[in-house]
Amino acid sequence: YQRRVHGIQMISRLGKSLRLFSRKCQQIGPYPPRELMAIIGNNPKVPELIKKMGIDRLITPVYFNTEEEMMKPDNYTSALVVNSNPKQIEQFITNQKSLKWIHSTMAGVDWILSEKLKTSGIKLTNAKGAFSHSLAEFVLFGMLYYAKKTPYFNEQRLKHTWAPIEVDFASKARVGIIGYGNIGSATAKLLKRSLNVEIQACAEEPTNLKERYLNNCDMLMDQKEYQTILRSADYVVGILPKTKSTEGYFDLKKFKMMQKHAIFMNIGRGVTMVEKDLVTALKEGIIAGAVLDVFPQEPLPATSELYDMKNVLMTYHCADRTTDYWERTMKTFAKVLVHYVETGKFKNLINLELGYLSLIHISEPTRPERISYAVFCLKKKKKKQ
Amino acid sequence: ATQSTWGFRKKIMENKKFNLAIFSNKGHAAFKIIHERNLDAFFNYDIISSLEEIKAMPNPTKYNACFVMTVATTIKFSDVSPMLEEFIPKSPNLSWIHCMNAGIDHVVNETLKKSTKITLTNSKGAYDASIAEFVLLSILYFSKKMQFLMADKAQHKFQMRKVNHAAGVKVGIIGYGSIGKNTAILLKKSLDAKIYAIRNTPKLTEEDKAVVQFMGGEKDIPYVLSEVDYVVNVLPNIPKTVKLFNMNMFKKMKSSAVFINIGRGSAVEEADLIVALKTGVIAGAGLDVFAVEPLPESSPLYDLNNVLFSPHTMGYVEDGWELCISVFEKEVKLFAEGKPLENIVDLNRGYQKSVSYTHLRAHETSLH
Repeated sequence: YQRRVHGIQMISRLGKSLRLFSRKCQQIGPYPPRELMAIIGNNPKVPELIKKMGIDRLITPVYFNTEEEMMKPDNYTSALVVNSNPKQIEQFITNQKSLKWIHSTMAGVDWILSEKLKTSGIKLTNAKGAFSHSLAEFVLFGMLYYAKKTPYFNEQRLKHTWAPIEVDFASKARVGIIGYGNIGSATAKLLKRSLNVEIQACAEEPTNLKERYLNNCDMLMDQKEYQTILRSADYVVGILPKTKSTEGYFDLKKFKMMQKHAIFMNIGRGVTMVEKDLVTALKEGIIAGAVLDVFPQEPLPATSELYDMKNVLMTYHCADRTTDYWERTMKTFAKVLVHYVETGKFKNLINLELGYLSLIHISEPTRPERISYAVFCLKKKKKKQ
Repeated sequence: ATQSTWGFRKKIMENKKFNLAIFSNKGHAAFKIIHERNLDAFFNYDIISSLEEIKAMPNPTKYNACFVMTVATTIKFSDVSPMLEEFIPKSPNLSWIHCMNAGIDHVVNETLKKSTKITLTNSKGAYDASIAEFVLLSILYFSKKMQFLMADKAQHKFQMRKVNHAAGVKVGIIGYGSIGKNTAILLKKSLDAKIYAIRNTPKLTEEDKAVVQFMGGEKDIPYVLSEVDYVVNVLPNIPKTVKLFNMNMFKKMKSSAVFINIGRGSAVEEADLIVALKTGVIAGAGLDVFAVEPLPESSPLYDLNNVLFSPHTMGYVEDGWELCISVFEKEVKLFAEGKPLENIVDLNRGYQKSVSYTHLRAHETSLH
């Protein structure tokens, strides 16, 4: 802090170019020691990108060929989860005693969370924002798919019949988002920009959300008021994480609250909907159709009734699996890593009690405290008086 | 006293009304809107549903104008030309024909071209928004590899596949008119797409520069086809564009490219398109129009899973007559006042008139 104050005084005398140079010096600073990071899971792109993006200047990555190698106790201070399973993660945490930080290359972290992790004091970060735009495009696609009555025309095509019917405007719809976080905000932004639809959303404690998230939707309400959304939306988008309170959230009761022509979309976690109830709702015409990227069981067993239903659009948890998937997630990881190395604080931090990345209940502030130049000038003037 | 003056005024108004023949079936949804907007204060109209009715008419007929409705009616595209062939020689007072569609290839025939008195107008702009949404749907459909995912679904297979971003795609719009422009604007807004436009007279206005990356003419079609990921055909049906898209053109496109046809099916050599789709010359097609409509049951296009199919209906929205009748309303008011009409079609070119009126035929500036 003292160094910065002195720096600002110097700058005010010497001008703009020195100000920039001084800031760069502050940024580089004394070079920190490299984190010893265990890479859990194998993917050929990860070592390639670590080298290409220069991430190995800040970490020493350790790759494993077998599970036994990974479980040997060592001094790993952090871990990068590329792909794994809950048991493996739990065992890794018990064996490694000096672990302080785990970063997940996926946005959903429900399978990494466990009682062991909560009590161990390890910080967990995720790939927030890496896939939000891809999922937003998928929601836009789902809306247009049903507005233009694609399932009906596809059926006619398979029957070789020419039976024109009138279609709808997707831009005249109302969209309801249940679980408004980073993905919900990116979806709302894209839908507003492209179709200018009306968007209503609900989240936990919305009054504490930052302004940049509020600007994207027309109405943001508390999650207790989900009924308003369900009863009036033409497209209901579920972006809920998997927690104790959201398991089985979308059941027959909630589907009955939706309109008969409404379309249900799930891009959060499959366990937040009850598959049996969804199948019933679709068969009995309680809702008109569904767009699903996630399922209660993945891979969805071949016996599932969802496969045969014509008014279900399915992608196999690959709506965000774009060709640049690894570039995107490693870029987010690099951002989190650089921030941690520079300030010792974590971005994209998961609130372990809630079980997801809360935009409100941030466990620690990410920006180091600093006084702005303007405020400093004011204080200086006061002293003179 | 007021009653008699009203009767007198009414007589004057009735005398000023022009006589309109509407080619349609009786229960059409558009009539409700015509009544709601009080357009029948401007004209007396008769509904004509078939060729026989025209043949039974006395010669000469009283009609000054004709409204050809071929959307959601019992009148097919192929019925219109014979009806006009019979109708035009019988109607010496006919000076205006308005077409409910944007495309007018089914209306223009030799009799119409030879006539020196008749102005043809179309419903430019009425269907742009809905058609643009179909183009956006096609781009997203093929970006997310739905042709493969739907095949997997039919086989109950759960297989993760790599998908593409739709953001930043390159789209070529062949035939940059009203529909092309509105499509480009929607794609730019939603996907930040890079637009390569082709039109007969390539000129970039200030508006266009914000949306279009490249504007070219007929010679630039091969360049655009080789550059873009999505080719959108919006060309009208005129002799120059017939069977423009043949195997030669499909081979110039990328093998991952998708062909979207929202213009006319006549621009495509359908046999070549089928082979190109089957053998992977192009990755897929989004088709709203076909060479023969309705598409015959035996057509192989029905069996191709990489075709996004629509029976020429993506422009027509439920309760969408408001837009179409708004265009008609404008023309009616201009016609009734004797002013030059908007959306005039150049009968020699086969599509919209250019902005400069150099090709205007003498009678098109004054209609009475």
